[in-house]
Amino acid sequence: MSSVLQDHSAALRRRPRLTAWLPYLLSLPALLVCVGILVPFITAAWYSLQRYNLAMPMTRGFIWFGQYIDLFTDPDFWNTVQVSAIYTIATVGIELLLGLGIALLLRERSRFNNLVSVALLLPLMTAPAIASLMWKLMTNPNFGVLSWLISLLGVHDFRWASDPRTAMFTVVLVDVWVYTPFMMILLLAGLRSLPPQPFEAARLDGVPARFVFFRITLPMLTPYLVTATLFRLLDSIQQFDIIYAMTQGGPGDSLMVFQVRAYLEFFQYTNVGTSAALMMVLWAITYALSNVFVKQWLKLRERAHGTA
Amino acid sequence: MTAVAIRGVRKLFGQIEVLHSVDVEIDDGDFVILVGPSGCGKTTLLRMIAGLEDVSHGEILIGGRRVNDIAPKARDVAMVFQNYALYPHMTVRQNMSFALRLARTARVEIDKRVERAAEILGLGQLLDRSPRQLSGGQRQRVAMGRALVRNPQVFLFDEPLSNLDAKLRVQMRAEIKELQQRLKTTTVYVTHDQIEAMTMADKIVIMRNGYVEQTGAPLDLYDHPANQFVAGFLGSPSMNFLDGEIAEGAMIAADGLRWPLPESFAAQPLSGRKVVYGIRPEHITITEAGIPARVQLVEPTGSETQVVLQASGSTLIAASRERIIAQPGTILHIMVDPARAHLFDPESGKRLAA
Repeated sequence: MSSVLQDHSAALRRRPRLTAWLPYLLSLPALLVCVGILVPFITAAWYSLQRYNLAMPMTRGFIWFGQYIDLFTDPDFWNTVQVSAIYTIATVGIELLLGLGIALLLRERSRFNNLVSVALLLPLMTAPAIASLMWKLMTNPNFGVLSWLISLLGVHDFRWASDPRTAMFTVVLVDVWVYTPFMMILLLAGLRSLPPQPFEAARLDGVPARFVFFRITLPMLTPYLVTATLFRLLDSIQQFDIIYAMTQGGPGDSLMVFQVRAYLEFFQYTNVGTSAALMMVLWAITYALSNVFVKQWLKLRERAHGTA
Repeated sequence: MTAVAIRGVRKLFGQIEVLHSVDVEIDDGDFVILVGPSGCGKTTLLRMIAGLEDVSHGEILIGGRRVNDIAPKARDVAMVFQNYALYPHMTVRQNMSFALRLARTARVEIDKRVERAAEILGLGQLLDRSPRQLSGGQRQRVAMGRALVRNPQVFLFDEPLSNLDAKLRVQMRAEIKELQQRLKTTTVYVTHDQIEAMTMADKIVIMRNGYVEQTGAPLDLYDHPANQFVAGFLGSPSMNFLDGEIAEGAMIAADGLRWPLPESFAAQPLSGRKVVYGIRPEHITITEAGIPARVQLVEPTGSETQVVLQASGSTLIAASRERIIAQPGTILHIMVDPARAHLFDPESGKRLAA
């Protein structure tokens, strides 16, 4: 007993020096990460306010928001916004519905269901660029297995990603293949963690399955739906690997989403200023979206806790 | 008339048998409490009555109708869950009227029933609130209101008070009992709390390890426990038990102390038999002369004083209305009321009939 007291008082004596250093020590990794993020971010913001083309270094100069004004008056930029929006809404929408559907099917814990859910996770473990190459091979008009399969259905000369009319469909298909499991696993975890009692009460009340789904399951699952949607939305609007690996943004301008366009501006046209401005616009959109969602999510979480 | 009959009901989860041929008859309008330590199968039995669990063997009848294969909603029962199970995004009114709205009950009728239930439960002011804006006790009332509006043949309660704090629990206990007496609806209530069972029930079913140990009115069970488990389970502080052997019309403990037997045993040829001697704390009195016992602890509760004593190698508790002041370690003398003593068989635990 007395030795414990002594140890304690010794610890108290040591404390002042420790308390002075501890906060900095503990937050050091986070501070380092912050520096690693802030430096390129500020550099990009700085470049976005300049006319800066590597091919024409003599024209470099500070032009305030000239770069942004050029962008907002450029129909190509609005094409990028439109393509990104369509891509994001299509992928997230389809993945949400499919993911929810699969999660509902696998809801009951059984050996078979657990096995299936693990098997369904496999696409998520494939690097998106590799997955895209795989799909590129499968959709090859000459020897692709998918092209062959739909030719059996009587559809010939379907050119997948090479045709501007079907390119969007094809990359969305790949994105859905890769990321639906992510949606599914989050929603499955959500479904399985819902308290069973309201559903039992519903059985006693004789609530039909349709009502149970729309009036009980969906509202209780909303925080999970919002979280999963947020993650996918932020990811999808910044999509690069799948589209670049499949089509490099083509054919024409049909898949010129933000990241791909910014990449091409920089590495093909060496237009550093335009590329940086594009990235800043994308950042602003992402930031605004995540803010809206985090607020919504906090509200929902509070509500879910209030009724636990 | 029998409202609920449980006949030879067994429940198996895989290979594990959690209920072993349970028989319970519940009369119309009775308040029956299933009580026992956790894992005794009481909640499983209740869920089987509700239809949330299948019946492995045997049959359950509600209102004379075999309900084994009838869906929960068609059994005409309403259940109140331990954590209330309110629909989180509906208001109190919507929660209470949901089942009726689904059953396409007339609007006027729904309003009438909800208003009536709200009045009975004192929820009038809260009808348009959502569950998260309510306290635990209020949520509990809404859960009861939801059961009430359905006007079922049988109410089922699954440990409804265990999430409430002690004071609110006592208050809700009285409210539920009063409500049941007013409505006269058959009620099956599950709890692990023997005080709840003693205070509320018309009839108690004591369960352990999937068996029914004893069934009867609370005070009958208290005064005439069928076995040592029931004797020890009911009552707080619980019954004192001493080991010993019968000789010369008394029970002789290992240290030679003589514990008097009930008169009815005097004539029986029990001499030499090993028994467990049971006596409730309130039937031990502290006197000037009697059996000596060493004081271990004195616990005044205000209305009574509980004295923890050491005698015959066992710890005994004596409860007295009088205020007793004694130092730990001193010797007090006690007397037991032999008419209130019980004898149990040490092997089977069964009470020896006088």
